[in-house]
Amino acid sequence: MAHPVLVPPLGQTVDTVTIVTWYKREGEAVREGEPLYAIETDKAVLDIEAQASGVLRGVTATEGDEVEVLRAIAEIATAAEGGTVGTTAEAADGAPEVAPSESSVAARAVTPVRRGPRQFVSPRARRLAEAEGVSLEEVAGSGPEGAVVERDVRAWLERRSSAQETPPRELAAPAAAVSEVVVAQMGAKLAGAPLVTLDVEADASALTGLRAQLAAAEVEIADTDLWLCVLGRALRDQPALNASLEGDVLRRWPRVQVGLVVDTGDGLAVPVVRDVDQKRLAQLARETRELRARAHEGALTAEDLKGATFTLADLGAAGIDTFTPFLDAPTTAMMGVGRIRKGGGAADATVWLSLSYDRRLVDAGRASRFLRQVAQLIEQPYRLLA
Amino acid sequence: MPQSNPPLLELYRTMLTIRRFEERCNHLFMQGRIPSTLHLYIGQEAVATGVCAHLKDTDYVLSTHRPHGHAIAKGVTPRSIMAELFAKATGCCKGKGGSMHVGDMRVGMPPAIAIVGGNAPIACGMALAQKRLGNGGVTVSSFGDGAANEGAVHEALNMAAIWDLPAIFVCENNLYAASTAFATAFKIDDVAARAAAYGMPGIVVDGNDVLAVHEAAAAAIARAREGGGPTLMECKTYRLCGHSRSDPLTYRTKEEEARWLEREPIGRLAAQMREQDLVTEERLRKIEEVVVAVIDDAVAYAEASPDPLPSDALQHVFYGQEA
Amino acid sequence: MAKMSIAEALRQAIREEMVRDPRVFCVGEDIGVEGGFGGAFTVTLGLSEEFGHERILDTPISEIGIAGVAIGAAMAGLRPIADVQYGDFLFCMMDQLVNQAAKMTYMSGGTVSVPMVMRAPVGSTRRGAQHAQSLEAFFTHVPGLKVVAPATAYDAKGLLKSAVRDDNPVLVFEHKLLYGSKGPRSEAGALSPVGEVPDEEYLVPIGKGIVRREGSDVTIVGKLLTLYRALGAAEKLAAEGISAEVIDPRTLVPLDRELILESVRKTGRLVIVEEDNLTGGWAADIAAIVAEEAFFYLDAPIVRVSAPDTPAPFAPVMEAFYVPSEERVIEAVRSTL
Repeated sequence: MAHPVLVPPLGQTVDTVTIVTWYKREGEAVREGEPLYAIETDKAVLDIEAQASGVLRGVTATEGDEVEVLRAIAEIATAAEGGTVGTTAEAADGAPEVAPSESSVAARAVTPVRRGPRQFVSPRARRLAEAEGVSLEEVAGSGPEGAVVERDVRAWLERRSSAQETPPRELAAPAAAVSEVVVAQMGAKLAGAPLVTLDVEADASALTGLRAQLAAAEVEIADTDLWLCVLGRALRDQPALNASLEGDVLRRWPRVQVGLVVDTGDGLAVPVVRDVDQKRLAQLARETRELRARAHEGALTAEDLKGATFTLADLGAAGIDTFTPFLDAPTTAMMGVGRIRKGGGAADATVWLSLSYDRRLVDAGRASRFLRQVAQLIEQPYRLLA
Repeated sequence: MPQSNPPLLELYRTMLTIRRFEERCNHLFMQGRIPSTLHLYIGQEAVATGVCAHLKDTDYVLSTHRPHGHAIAKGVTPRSIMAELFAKATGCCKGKGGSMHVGDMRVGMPPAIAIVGGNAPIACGMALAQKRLGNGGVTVSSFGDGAANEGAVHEALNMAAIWDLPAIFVCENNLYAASTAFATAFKIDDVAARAAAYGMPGIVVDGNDVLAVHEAAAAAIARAREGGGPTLMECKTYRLCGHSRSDPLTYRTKEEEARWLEREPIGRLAAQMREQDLVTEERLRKIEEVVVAVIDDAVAYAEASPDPLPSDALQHVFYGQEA
Repeated sequence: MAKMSIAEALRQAIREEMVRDPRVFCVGEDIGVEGGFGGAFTVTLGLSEEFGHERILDTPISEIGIAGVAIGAAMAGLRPIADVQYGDFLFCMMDQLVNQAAKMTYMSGGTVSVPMVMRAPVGSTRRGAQHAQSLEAFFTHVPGLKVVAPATAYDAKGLLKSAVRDDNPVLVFEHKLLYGSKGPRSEAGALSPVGEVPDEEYLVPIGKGIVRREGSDVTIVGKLLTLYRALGAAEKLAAEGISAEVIDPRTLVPLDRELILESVRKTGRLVIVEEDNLTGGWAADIAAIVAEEAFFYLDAPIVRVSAPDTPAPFAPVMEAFYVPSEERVIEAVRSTL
């Protein structure tokens, strides 16, 4: 299946945009969410992110070309067509991020993108993986010289099939709440609750620089993962925002579990990423990809959707600058993040953050301080180490 | 039993057929129509002729890398030999053997063995079988002066003697093993002198006198047939051509060659027959005509024959296997 | 059924074929001498009393002669069973075997056959480098020769009979430590496998191998002595929960490729064990065949367990290092898992 790369209709007053830079070349591997090319509209120069993972090919517009919006200027060949393996590629736990499994001859890059140490796979294991549609990047090897061998693929297959039947590894919800405030007397139902939204534009240049550095170190992450990382920290520091309503009881939780709004293609779903404050970027990246994949496949379980203590909607990939998150989730607060935009002001890159909260459950002061910290962490990511 | 009336014209015709065949091969080779080198028997015709005159199809002759003469004398058809040299599917070895391996088991000549001396122990085996089966057959092993020094020949001569095998070892001493002169490879003057060391009779024969060869061979073959055991028969002769087609002959003198040319066997027999009024010029000319016609026919047959298929190379690795 | 050693099974085979077909005879050194050994490993013991000295034909020490006689006799209508006292002496007769016997049928365009058998004992037995070689690989490489290597009494009898009846030159390799020879000709360190042999007539076809032990985790191919090493290793591995399939090819040329390939397709792993020097050996050929024809079924690299690239040493401790042991086979199997 090939995913067309369409020029988004981002110009305010014009029907054409100019291709400024291609970040990827024909035949190169591409990951969903990473910047693919930059366009100049009448307003600004914007990075456009890849909407799928695979191999870039069929590029029909070059730098400097003026192109109509919604025109396909390339396509991304996904795994089924022999591109690099699909959107849910994961490295083995604890191991360095491994290279995508080798493209078929048809899609082989002229200058192959080497992403890390080569993964050895026995011919037998490879054959089985192909037959069963297993992405080899997700399989850890236990054979000679660390190769992926047949039993590893079989074990992966078994885990996949049992994961679809039994509850997943972690508790759906933390064991005990920190504090509970009964709001029964308020008679508040969440739907239609009074919402306040706070907005702030943060300087994202440090973060994009960080992302580039990580990419150079062969750690591929998307913007969403960065927001999760920052949120994890902020929510741990300011637990007032890490709370959810269960019936009439507002519970604050010791663990940070962020519901991530995902477009399944068939509506929205909000699977939960657990212990966000405990996980490194790479692991967050793996998990969000996996959740997205399962969401697309309609393979999310009930357990996946339970236990969020905060909600995040990242519409940056959809090319949205800013929006007001509405709370359709049991969390007391939700953050909406737009896309990182280049230029236009003092900063090289900026991003809009919007925090919506139920003002009966969270006071404005706390909410502001929370949003302020999130912005600060984005602008000064070194604080994450402190 | 020694024949008192050797079939002179038959002997003459056989020698002439060999001679004209070999000359024609040389000619064809020079024209590039034969794809391999050749080891020609020119000058040695009397040996093959005189020995094979006594042999039946159930007697065996094991030859060497220089086998055309033995093949013709033993009854392999000139057509099938020529076709083999032309590398055709109709060759006596179906194109699988080539010049050094011509032979036809139906007339008692296995493919010639080009490892000099290698055929001697095999001759012992064939003779052993003939003795065991009691069919009165004999086996001739032909080898040159050079081969006589191979270990295989010594082992074979010893075995033939201890078992009294019906084998005749014919050493065609043409004074050169490729370019190595006899005198440098032997301390003795006659290969046949070694026979005593094994306990069998050894005889020296003028290999350019077909009647002498014929007589000596008759005795040896008869002895073998009657259970008298093996004989080592050394035939002194001379190669009137190079060892192979790429031999510049710089290791021999022109004087030596001239001397031996005078004694070459075919002319010698013709002279003898004329002397004794046993043949007319007309008859000799007729024989020449017939012989040339046979060679012409063989060449035409070879040229008209089909090539083998390349994949025929896969056939006959094992007996009864058709690829 | 009767239980017998390989030496006895071979003797029975020779005897039965000689009774059945008067063209069959034996030729070699010290095979018929009255009051003698019956060959170096007692295989022909007693046969000259029954068949006489023309059919159990003793020769001088003339390996070239022995081979040549066998070849010529075969070409002229008899069916000889020749032997060398030690496989190492085959090198003395290489020209006859390789240039003559192997090529006669081919060079004649398929009209001449050489129905001979050449028996040769192989294997290291503390006699020094020149009486110790396992040299099947020199002959499996020659088109025109068939090569068999029976490791049990049943196969020894059945294969020797088949070899005698085959119209081609057949080399029969026997292992010195497997004969089960008794008395003054017995061998230190011999395995002497004794096996059941049917009383009624049977043949083991040339060209068919056999699975000696079924398994699912790894295929081990061994021949002659190393077959027993493989079986011993398989037994020990089973205790660790590793299931090894052991294959005895029995015939080396023509090889029962499909048997080996089928097994590797099942197990995904291959270990080949041979008592022969590593480089350019028989195991290398098997490995190449499997790599070419079953590559995508392999779960691990193919491993060869061979003798090192040295002549065979004399000292028992060195010999034990030289000849592949069960431990080395086990180690090799583990490395593939």
